[in-house]
Amino acid sequence: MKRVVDLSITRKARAGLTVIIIAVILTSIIPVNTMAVNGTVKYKLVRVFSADAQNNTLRAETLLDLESFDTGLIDTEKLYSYDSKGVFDVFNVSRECLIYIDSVRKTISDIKPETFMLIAVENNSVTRMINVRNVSLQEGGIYNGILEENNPDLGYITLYFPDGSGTSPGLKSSLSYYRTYSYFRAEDVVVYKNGKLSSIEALNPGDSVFIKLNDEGYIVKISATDNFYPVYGKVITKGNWMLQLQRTDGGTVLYRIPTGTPIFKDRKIASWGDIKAGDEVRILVQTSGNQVIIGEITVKGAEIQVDAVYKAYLSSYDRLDNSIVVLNMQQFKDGIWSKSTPVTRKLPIHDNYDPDIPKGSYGTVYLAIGKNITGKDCVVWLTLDSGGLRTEITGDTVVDADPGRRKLTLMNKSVSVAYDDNSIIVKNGKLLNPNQVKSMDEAYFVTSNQVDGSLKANVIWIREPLEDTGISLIRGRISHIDLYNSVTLESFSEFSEPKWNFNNVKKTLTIDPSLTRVFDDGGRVDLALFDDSGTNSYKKRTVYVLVQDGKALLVSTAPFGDVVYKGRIYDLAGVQKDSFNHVVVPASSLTIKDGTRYNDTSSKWEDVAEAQFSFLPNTVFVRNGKVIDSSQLEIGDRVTVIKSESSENAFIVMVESF
Amino acid sequence: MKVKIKATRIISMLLFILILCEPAVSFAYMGSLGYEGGISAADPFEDNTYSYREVCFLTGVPVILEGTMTVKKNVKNDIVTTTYVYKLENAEQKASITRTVVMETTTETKANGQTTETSKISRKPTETVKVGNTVFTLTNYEFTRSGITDPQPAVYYNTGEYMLKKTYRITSGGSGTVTVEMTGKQYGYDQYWSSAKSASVEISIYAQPQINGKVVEWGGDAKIFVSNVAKKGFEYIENEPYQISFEGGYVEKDYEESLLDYEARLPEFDKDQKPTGVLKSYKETIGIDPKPVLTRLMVPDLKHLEGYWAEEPVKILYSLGVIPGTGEDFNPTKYITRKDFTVMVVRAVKDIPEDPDLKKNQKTTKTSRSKTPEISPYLDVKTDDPYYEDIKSANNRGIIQGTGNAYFSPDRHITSAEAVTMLIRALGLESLATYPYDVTPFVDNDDIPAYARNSVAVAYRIGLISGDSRGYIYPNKYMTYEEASVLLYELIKYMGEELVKDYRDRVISYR
Repeated sequence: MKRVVDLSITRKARAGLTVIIIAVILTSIIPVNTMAVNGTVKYKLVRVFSADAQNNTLRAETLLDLESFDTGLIDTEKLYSYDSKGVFDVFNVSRECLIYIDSVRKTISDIKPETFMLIAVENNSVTRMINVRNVSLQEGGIYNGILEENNPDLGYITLYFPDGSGTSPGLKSSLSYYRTYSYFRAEDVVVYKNGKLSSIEALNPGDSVFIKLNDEGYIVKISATDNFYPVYGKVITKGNWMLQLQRTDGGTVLYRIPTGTPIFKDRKIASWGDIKAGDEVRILVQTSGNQVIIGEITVKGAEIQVDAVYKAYLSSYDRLDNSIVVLNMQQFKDGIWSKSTPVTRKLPIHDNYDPDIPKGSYGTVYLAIGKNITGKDCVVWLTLDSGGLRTEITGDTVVDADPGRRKLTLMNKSVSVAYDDNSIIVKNGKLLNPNQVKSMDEAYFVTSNQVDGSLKANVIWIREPLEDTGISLIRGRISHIDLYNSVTLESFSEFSEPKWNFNNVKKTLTIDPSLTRVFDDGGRVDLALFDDSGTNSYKKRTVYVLVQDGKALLVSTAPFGDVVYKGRIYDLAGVQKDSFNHVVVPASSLTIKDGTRYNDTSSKWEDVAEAQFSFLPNTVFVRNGKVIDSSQLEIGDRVTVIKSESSENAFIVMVESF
Repeated sequence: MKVKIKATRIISMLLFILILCEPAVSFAYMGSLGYEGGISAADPFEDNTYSYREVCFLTGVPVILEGTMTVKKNVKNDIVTTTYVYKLENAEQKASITRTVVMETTTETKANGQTTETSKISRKPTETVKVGNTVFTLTNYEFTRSGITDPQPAVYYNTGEYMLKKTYRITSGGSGTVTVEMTGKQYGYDQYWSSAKSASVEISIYAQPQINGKVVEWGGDAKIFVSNVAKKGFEYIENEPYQISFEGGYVEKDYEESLLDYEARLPEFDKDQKPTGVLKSYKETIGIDPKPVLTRLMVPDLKHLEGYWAEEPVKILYSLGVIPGTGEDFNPTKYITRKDFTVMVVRAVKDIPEDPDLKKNQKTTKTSRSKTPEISPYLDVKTDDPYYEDIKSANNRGIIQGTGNAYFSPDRHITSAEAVTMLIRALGLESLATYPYDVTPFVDNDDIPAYARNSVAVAYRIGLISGDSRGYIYPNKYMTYEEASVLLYELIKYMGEELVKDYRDRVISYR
């Protein structure tokens, strides 16, 4: 029987057949589509992170999934809105993988990071790759990352991998290949650093950089920004442009400081010499792996200041309130203890100080008092008296300091003085570490005799030698005044304690409106009135002048004084202060006790039990070479007073304090 | 049917009004320092009232005044109206200030969640300053301020800037005018363990008083740094009696510290109060630091950890309720799961306190609403899980994002890298990392997953992690309960102590 094939098919079936035939044809022409339908093949646009030729792997970030191996299907709008997560996949690359870069057959070694590749992944292996040009998240030919190395001599820079890895020693060789970009001539490369036109030498490891390459793959433009962050710590040792820091978290770190690193202190430019062991500093660093770039150093301005040292009786220690209760406080001022005040005071302990006060402690305690963050008096250091047999104060000079054995040899003591970590050591209002006491330091020592005959220092107050301020006090008759410019004295006497030395020569002194103060019998007057003409002329008047560097700091019409007293202020009469310790009404007089008076006849200093001196509106007050007013006097200040025999008024009050 | 629609509309409108009245307040607040260069601390006895101190430069000599500042805030149509009333004096100096300032603040929330603020004066301010016999009366007040708040899961960061110009007329004890101009920059943050508000204020003073019928001129300038800090600390209290059922425990101490640090240059005056050409420098720090508020914490049962090196962190975390439970079954060497770590994190970075001035003025209306079924944000975290609320809170605050496809993988152990990432995300400090990806100094930097590298770098910089003695951090190692406790203890210390330093202590020390 002849088999009959019925070709009479319906129109619907015919149409279906046509579709199948077209599909078969298309499949044979464009096999890609067939695979797309296949489902085991995936097409991805990836940003290459690294290509490992040894293991035939590709690490890359998938940007888009595509339907086919067709670069024309890339939706650039979608691509630009892609939010990179920085998650990289590792793709195995088939050994037969076809790799095309710029239409030229290449190998896996030729694939550079940041390249955009269209890949076909089949059975978890990449079987085809083609680079995609003109698809960039930024701009064609732009690469970015963290700078690993900048070598202007050899003309290249190297970046870390895009995900911040690349510090493993094993990756070094591949790094230099994959992430190194070259330039021919440094001067031809346009470089921006922190938004400003700069040079290629200004680029440092750790900078975030954008690099633009030309068609030949060479750098034509770089823009970079630094990534400094602050590291806080205390200088443990300072070497030759090297700082060892104890960070606030307790760890130590060593930084080599390049010469020329900007250094700041008290809002001003400072020098390397201004940094000292014990200083707290902030260093701006930029790290890149283990490389450290130093940006700048700022020395902490607000060190904990010691305003005063006291001796008191410790009554109790309140741990919960972090405070101590003391009685009978006596201030240590220029080598003596001030009068005791029979008052109980509760003193908070500074937040940064954790004193070792054994349970049940009581008795004599030495206190270094400073201010807490809110400006309130607090204990910044304390030492409990070790129960010495006798305490004494001596002024002496350190001949030899042995920080290892914590002993000091003094010039006038046969026995060395021991000290420990708890000893209060103060210099210039700053608390020092025991190893900061140096030979030739002049100091007051508050010591106690120990049972074994040794001496232990509870307080070491190192006296900073008073600077020669170049200030002098002269007195003379005014012969000429050039308003706002100068004053000339016919002749003058210069005070050289305790006498006045006469000089029969003219002296012209500069008037500086921002420095010169004029006091007449009624008080401070406007500089405009200090003239040698008119009804209130100062011509022929005899005045005191405080002189510094040829400038008149102060002119006063106070009467001539030839009697000199020295002593410590025991009382300031009439002073009134507000609750913030601001002087509302200044003192009208001062009293010294156990002072001395210079006897001009015998040329000797004689003891004076007590003496009171009133202030005039034109009394001159000076402290350590600076003009002050009576509101700045303090009880305990060591003063020199000049007055006349016939009056109790003080014409000149000079304060010296260490 | 019509009635039903009408009722629905009314309910909708009521809800809408409620939403509008809802404190814009979950965001950080600023302003209890005021804008006059003064400092304050909360008054424990009066709501909306602060102990307040300020420096007055109008006479050419700094005078400190103290008293109270009351701050009242009302919200209407997204506009916060704040009324500041100052009553200050210095009895010894015979000085006083009375001042009332009312300002309106408009807030706008941006697409990224940040809130911008703009403030302006809504009513003519009044002010009278008396120093001795001289009376200064405010005649003109110009003020403008803007600010921004960035709400992160655990911390709300904010900055702002303002300009203020005040003109006074001398109405008694002389005549003439004094003009004071201020430019202030404010920085602050709010979170549970501490909060800080700081401002650097530049002040210039220009005076034209009349003396003996003649106008004389003088000027001066001042720089003021003001700061208000609230922070928490812990103190271990040993028991005195022996026969007691629990061991010693911790007391939480809530501190408030305000400081005002100023430097001024003002002229010296002659006997007739005329200015001379010599300038006098003033420098001073004053503060307000009331006694801390004490709160006793629970004493956990950690007898089995006595003397253990991580005893203190674990004890404090239990005492604070950060680690759920009472401690007796705590195993420090056990690996911690994602869920348990998340619970600890969300309890460690507690909700951010709201503005007390605003909150106390809110009137809330309760409405009965039908309860809708709770839907867990993650398919693998059930709503009846005992820690569901913690996970939900962590998700809502953006501390966790899950492991993809709406899963959280709660029972999976957490790696160090994941844990650190979670903490830095909570602090919102990812942006401190360098772009595009940071390079950490750890030996195993390359082992850190790319998504965690920036967080690890930031955690290192702010001192949360430091690596072992050889410089490794083992980012992919599972974390034990002990390690998690130490890390969270460090986080709490960072939030309580370290962050304050950046906004106050270091600003003073390194300027």
